[in-house]
Amino acid sequence: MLNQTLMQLLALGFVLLGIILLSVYGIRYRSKPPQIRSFPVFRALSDEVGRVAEEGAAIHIAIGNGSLIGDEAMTSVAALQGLHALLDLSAAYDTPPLITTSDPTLYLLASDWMRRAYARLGSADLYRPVTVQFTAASPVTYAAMAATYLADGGLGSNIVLGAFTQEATLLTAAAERRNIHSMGGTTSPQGLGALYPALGAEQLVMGEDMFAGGAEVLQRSANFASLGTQDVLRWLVIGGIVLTALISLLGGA
Amino acid sequence: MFKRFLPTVVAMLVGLLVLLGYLLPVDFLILLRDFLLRWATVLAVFALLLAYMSLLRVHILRLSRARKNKITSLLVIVSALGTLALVLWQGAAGAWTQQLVNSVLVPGESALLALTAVTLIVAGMRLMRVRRTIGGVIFVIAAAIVLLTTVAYSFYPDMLAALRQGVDTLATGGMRGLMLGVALGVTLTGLRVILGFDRPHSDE
Amino acid sequence: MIRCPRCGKMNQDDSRVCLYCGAALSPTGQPLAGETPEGAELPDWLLELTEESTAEPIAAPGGAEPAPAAAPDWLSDILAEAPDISEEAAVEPSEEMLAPAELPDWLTGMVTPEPAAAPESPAMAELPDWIAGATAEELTPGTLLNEEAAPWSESSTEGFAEPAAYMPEAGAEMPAWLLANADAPTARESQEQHSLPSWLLANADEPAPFLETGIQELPAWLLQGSEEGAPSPVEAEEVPPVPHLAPESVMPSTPSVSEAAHEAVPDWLAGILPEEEPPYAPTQPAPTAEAVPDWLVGILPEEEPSSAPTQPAPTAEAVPDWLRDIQPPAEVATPTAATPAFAEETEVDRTVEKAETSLFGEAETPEVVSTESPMPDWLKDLTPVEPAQPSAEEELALADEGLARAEVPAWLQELRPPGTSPLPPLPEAATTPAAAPGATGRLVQAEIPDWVQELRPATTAEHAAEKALFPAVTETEGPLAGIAGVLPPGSLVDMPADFAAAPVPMIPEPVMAQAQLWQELLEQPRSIQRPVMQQRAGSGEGEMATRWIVTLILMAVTVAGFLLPGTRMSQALNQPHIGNLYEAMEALQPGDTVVVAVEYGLAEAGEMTPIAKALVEHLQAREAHLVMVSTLPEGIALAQGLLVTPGQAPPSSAQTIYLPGSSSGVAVFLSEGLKEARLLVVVTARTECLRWWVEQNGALHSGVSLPMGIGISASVGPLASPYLATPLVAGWLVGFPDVVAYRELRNSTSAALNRQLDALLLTHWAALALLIFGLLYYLARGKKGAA
Repeated sequence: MLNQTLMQLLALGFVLLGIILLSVYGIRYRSKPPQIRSFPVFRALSDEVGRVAEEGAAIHIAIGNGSLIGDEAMTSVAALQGLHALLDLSAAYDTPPLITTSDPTLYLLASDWMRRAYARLGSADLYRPVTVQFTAASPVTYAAMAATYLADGGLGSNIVLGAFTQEATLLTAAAERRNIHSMGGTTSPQGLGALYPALGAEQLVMGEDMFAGGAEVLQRSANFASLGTQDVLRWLVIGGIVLTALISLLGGA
Repeated sequence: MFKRFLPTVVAMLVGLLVLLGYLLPVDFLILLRDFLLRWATVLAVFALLLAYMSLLRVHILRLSRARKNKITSLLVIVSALGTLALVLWQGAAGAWTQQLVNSVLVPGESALLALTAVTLIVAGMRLMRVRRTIGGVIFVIAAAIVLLTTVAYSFYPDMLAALRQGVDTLATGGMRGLMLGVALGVTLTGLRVILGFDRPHSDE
Repeated sequence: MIRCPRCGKMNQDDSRVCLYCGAALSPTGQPLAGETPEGAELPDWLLELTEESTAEPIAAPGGAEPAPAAAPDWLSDILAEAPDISEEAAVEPSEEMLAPAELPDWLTGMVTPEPAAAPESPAMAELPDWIAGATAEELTPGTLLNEEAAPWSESSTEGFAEPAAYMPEAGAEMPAWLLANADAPTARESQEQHSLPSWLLANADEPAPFLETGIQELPAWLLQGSEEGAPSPVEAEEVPPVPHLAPESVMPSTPSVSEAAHEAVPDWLAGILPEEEPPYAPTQPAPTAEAVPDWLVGILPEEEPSSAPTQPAPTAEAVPDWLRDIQPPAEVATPTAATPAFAEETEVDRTVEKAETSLFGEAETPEVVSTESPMPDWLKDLTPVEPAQPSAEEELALADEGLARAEVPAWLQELRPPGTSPLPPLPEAATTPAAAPGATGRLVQAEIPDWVQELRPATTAEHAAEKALFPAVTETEGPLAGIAGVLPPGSLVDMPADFAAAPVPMIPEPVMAQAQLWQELLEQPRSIQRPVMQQRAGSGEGEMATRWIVTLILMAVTVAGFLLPGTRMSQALNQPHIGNLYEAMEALQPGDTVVVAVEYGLAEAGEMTPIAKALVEHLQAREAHLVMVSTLPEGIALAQGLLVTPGQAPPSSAQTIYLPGSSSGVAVFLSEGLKEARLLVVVTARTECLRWWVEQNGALHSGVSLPMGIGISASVGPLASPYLATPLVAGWLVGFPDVVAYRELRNSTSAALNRQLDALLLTHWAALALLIFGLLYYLARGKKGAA
């Protein structure tokens, strides 16, 4: 009980510290954005629009299985933020991508984002709901269905970005069979184990780099502040781990 | 106002209440948290219904307009509607339902998962073609050790066990670090949504 | 000589219009009838300004005269760099000191014909330099020379019928304050009136750099007053000052030159200075040979050129001798094409002496041996284009209506006090753009001789860069209106020594290409027809073969593992965690409630069902009350399948509960669920599900946490190890090998399980072999095989 309360208080303090740092960094980066590491994947996402437009093809975006009421909700949100520029460009040129997902709540969010991309341009009537699809309820079935889209043709690029596990390999294998360019990223080790052999270093974003997509694409101070806060908290966690390990070691000795 | 302000206020308020319900040992907050989460679950179920109907619509459109792969869409439509009718009739524990699950769904999806094993092995074989780095070599070596030590066999069991423990320690440490970073990213992204900095619900 | 009432310069007696400002002349020097007195029609505000202004002459900025508008920049630079004439070099003029008789008016400055006449009328005698310079702006050096060469006859005066735009209007509307200086000339002004241009007086020993080629090429204008002791009196009339030459301070305004001035003048100029105040006669005959200094000899025209512009000849007695040769025969002015003043061949036989001043500020001082010699070619080139003579009708019109009013500068108009009326607009004739020089008689630009062209400063790269960086800004208002490069930009002053202009960022070619591509895309009209995508080349046969081979190998070894007879290859190790779980299960009593969480999907059922079945069968053997829960919709169906034994009815005591909301559903269930549960068994192939149950079980507030037994897939094992080490977890099974070991503990194993384990082992070895093969193959193949 005491441990539980202590853990809760520690978590609360952690959250409060995060809020404070978010505010501080947000004010600081409002005038002068910081220099962040380059993420070629997010930079290349918007280029895919033009590349496939030349071919007369479309882009397939698999945004994964992260439910908005589950643990992977923020992973899905981060993935959508990283795709923001691509969605806007696609709406601008009326070449919407084919977005597939296996979670119904994520399906609604992705559909809303795509519609708003058109609405920002004043052409909400051009939005076609069929471009965002809920293909299946289970991850593996979803990947298999999405792979059939890739096999059917008409797609020039395959983006696997979101919460995935090993089923992501079905998507990359199908894209490779059709000689379709793939890129993406995920946060789970199982998904990374599937994507790591299939995608090159500049085509894959791993782990918490997913959460830098918003900063890279949107260039907003809030996103930069989030990255700065992450850095501070990371060092706090590292310090806590080392300290705990030392205490355990010394206590055990 | 209803497009941006109201959704943002609702998201911020609900997020804060749920967060406090997890962090503060206050019974009222816990009750409120559970109440709000049930509402979220109900909304998720409605989202599932919408997604299900969207699935049917897509395949019906594909059935009517597409030139190829119409049979796939037909099977999807038939299976979706048939399963719905069956479960509504017999429930999840019904005999036909169980037969369907055990005879069709489980083997089918198991086959798909087995297919991932093939694709993973093929991708692993071509790793050097994609990543000609020392990291690629280490990846293959670690995978080899795991494959070698998953199932014990009679000769050199102790040595293999020790080798597996070493790999597990390194892999576990790396994965924990990865997941800690992800957890931080999730936390900060969630805080941005709770505090209203990000508004994925109404305005990006 | 008639003094112009406006500018104060001397004109021929028979001139009807001032040669310089175009004002109508009256024999008495008074404004003609019809002409309003100067300043009479000036608005009050302008008059107020003129009254407030001091008698101080307006000094030229920096002592530099404004460059002629038509002069090249390089020439203007030279002219702008005319050194300030030191005061000590200035000769103390007296009232009698006029411009030398032989010197042209413009050379001696604005001199008045008579000292007494200086303040006679609000003439331009004391006009500030910017006015004088403005007047002279119209006169390029060539033009000036031409005018000096040509007699200041009536015909030539017609060339000034349309004065410069900034020239004040004749007489009536000349702001009085501009003429205030003329009202009360100070002693200094008097001195200035009578003093020679400083450039003629200063530094006699200093050679003119550009005259290294010899003084033979002196222009005629320099010879006009060069005759030493020339008896021909020359009225140092109001010569239009040399533009950008002598500063105002040394601009003589009186034509008379005293003997004292003569004595103070260097020798080389001695012959130039007139002995007495001669009547102004631009068209003076050429000085006699003995009077012309050597350095000017040869420049003087031998005879009147036939192609010389016909100028109305002044009266014989008024024309100095030195101008007579230049002046054509007196004829009625007819517009003729201007010919170069120095069209004649002249031979200058002079003694070269070091020049004291340059051509445009440092006059040469060598003695001029006056000899009649053919005019050098370069002199011919300097002959300006004779302005076209106005027609008789125009003359009459001008005579009747007065000279056109000059346009008052905008800056001057802005000084209008409030409440006063603006100046009346200019008549259309005044606002019409200047016509061709030949037609209207305006000053024309003379050709610049080669030797002057050689003085053009070399435009080095630095200079060009500097000019590019700091382009000369053309002044838009004020006395320097229309002139560029006079006032140095401030940035030059503030520019650091190491200043380097920021390079223009170059846009990379790939970016440019991309931008062009986008531009092309945007320009394409939107069409309903979408371009058909070209069929992509699929993966080659090698890729397909690889997949098939791998599949066949895996299938083969799997089948072989099931079918191979003989000893068992695999081993099911009985590890501690398996035994602990067994112990925990054995500790259950019949009727104990056990919660079994089935958290795997249909895809993982193949691997997880054996694990779940092993645990569920053990629990059923212990006769425990099972509560099957799942947060996954398909989990309930799978849980039902676990409970159903083929050929047997499902146990009635079993419950199946769906827990929506993932972790919150788990938390709700554990907090409000069955409090009599003794054990929590979680069977999952998903890390997050395991985490939910472990964390929520550990976070129970109201009760004691349940001991846990866990069954996970092999892929979740490494990730779940931290959770498996918690004290709440009694034991766990990871993958199929642990299931076989658990069943061996329960003595419920079978040969099929053993073969299945062998098949798993062989499959792992096959996968290992394939990975190693691929690694070595692509390493050996090198970059050729790289993607």
